[in-house]
Amino acid sequence: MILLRKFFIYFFITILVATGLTYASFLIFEEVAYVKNDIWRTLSSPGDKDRNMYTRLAVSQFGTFALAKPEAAYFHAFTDISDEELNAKCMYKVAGEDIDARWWALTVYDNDGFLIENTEKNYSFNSENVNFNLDGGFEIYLTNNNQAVQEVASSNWLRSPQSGNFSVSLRIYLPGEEFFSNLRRVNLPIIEKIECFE
Amino acid sequence: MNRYLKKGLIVLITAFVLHIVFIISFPYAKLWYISKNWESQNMINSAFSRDIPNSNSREVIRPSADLLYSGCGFDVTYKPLIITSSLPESYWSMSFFSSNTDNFSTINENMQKNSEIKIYLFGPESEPAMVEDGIIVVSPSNKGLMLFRQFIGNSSNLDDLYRNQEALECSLIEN
Repeated sequence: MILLRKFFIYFFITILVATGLTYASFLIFEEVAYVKNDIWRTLSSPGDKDRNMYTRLAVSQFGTFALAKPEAAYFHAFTDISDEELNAKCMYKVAGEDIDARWWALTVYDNDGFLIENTEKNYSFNSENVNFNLDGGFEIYLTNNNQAVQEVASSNWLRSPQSGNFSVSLRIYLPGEEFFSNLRRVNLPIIEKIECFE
Repeated sequence: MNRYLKKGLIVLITAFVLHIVFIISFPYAKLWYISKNWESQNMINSAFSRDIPNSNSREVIRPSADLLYSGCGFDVTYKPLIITSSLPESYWSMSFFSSNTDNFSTINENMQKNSEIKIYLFGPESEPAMVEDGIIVVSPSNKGLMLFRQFIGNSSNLDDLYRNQEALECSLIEN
């Protein structure tokens, strides 16, 4: 009986330490594995065969079936250019230039990583359906405020969630040759807060 | 060595091993969990298709609303798989994922200029002979997934994309 009690105590401690190690490894992974490009972050080898086991786990959990380079690159933004979390109460403007790639798409996700319900059934803009400005750039507004929607109705706009934080993903398929060696400096859109609503 | 230090070291090493086992096995478990659902719907070695992802899509996190997905879960333990489909003029790719979710091969519009494609998918122990009417892909694991992605763009060729979804066939080679 004493032996059994000892076994369970050691078992419990071992599980506790293993959980702590795993949690700590996630925190370290967040800091060291992602390549940061201003507000955007990406994994340099999300689907590659030679990715490390921590990348494999992270991708299988948060972006299952990601493609290996050079097929695609996936960037995610959780903050605006002021380094504040993207919040459903606020309206944002995503401004950028066309990206050297076969195609790209910008998609808004809720806090759980799912597409946001909206009556317009618009979840993203891509390089073929976004309206470019005369100078070749583009602007996409993100908001769920109906009054703000009326103001930007003639522009590119996507609905953000009703509450909480959200994120924006930028998929870039078959980018130019130098792209993957330049992930930190490649020119990507910026996200700036326009205004917040109560 | 101090008795408590020794016990502490044993706990630490065991915990580290458990941690590594978890990290390595999670992707396998993830694919197993997803493929369990496919098996119940007879989607192994047979084509499946999905409509354009929307806010109700829960199969994967961060689905792309710009891609029309189809594919097949594969099990090439005993026989190779033949994959055939017609192809769109817009971007497309057929990507292959092993049992630990690694993307071990991708065939796209740059490699296949025809309007149709035929792929022979072999298992890890195979030594496939040359084929003249298709592309050979050798999987590092017997089980996995092929995903056929078609770019929707401005939706002008959506009918073609749906036709390609219907044209996708995955079947084991007959003797």
